Amino acid sequence: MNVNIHPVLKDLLAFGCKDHRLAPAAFAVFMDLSEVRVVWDLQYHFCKALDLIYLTGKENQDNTEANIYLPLPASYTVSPAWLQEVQECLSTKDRGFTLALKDADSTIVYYSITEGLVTPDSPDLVQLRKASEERKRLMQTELWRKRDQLYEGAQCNSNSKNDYEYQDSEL
Amino acid sequence: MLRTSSQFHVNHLREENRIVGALVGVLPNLPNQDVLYGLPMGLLPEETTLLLEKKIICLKAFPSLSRCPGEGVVKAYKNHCRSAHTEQADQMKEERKTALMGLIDKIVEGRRRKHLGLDTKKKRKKEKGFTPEENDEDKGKIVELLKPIEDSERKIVLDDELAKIPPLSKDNTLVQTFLAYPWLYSEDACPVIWTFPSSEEERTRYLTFKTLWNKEFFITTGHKFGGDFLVYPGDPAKFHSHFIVICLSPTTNLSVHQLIAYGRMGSSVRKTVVLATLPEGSSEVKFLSIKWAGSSAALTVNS
Repeated sequence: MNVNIHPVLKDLLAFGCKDHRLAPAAFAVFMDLSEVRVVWDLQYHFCKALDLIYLTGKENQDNTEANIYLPLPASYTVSPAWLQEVQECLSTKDRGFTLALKDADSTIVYYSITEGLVTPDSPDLVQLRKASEERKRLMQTELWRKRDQLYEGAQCNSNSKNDYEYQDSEL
Repeated sequence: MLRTSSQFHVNHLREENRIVGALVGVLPNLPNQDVLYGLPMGLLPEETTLLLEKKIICLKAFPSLSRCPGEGVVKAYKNHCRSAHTEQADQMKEERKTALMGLIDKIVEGRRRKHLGLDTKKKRKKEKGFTPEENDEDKGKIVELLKPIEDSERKIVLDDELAKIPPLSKDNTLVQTFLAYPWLYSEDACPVIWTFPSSEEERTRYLTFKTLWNKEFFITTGHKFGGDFLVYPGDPAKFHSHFIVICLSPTTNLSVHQLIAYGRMGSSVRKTVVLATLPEGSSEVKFLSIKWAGSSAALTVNS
């Protein structure tokens, strides 16, 4: 039966977290981060002191500092003191961490918690972000529309390349 | 609630001390609207304690303000009304006199014409035109009419006219709206025992306020956004607020849903929701900022 379990979920369960809701939540967040949000260098860890599973990953390839994601189920309760403790235990002071809150229907929302006062984004930054989101969306629809073409092209390329290699080896 | 009722003090508190308060009165000249408020200004308990601590204000209680006015005050008020009436009546007479002085020569001339039986209506005069063949009697009359006017004649006419002015009735007197209680005497002031903050909850609120104030922010109440304070980077008249501060005990249990509600509300109004807590036995307030991190592009731009 264990054969059908995703290896990541298997690892998460093997951490032996006392709160049984945490491993499934962490798995759902892992899948969302790796498949939907495409986070780089995604890794999962267990914090024994707090009995928590957390994930680390980078938003893009050259982003040197990793973000910390703390998956929590929607039925969880948190207190400011506990958040403070988590912050001190898991992250470097000024960067904070991101709560990944998972509801029963697998909806996941992300909220970052940072110590101190974080000034809201300026209107310019918001515009920049919106533009970048728009670009990303456009690219995705375009890719989706031309996927057949791309697939064929890729197949053609690899065939010809193979032929080429074949010829090379023959010579 | 504490009140201050001088525009000078209000401006001074705002510009020099970054204390905004809240205007709670009506504007004397626009009483039937609730868009713009006027004096007096109410102060938050946190603002009051801070100002007391910095020795910028002192608190006084006037028991007379919460009592029914006594005989002395009633008498003073009646006197005030009477003197206002007399003053206005005198003022009116004075103005009337100046107006009459400007017209006095014409009035004298008119009276002479009437007295001599000459035509006083300009209109008829025009219709007839100037006729050179006037008889001697008329000539004499005109000579009489054109005689220089003596001061004594002016005075008689003026007194006559002044006597005709009806006295100013009570109904027509202008009534002064008081902007401050006029019969407050400093010797009636009683000291006030100010106890805020007394509970742990109030201590958290006060220290949060003070910490933010020391960071050069402007702070107002946060009712509008369901928090304790709204924090502005400059004068609230010129800036949008940056933070919605919610004061909590460090051990308050928040459901994840509550946390999401805070974060979502903050992001929809472009503010950061900040949880402020006072760790037990400490006097240093800790802040936690909650910010939406839902969009992946947001993190890319930020980092």
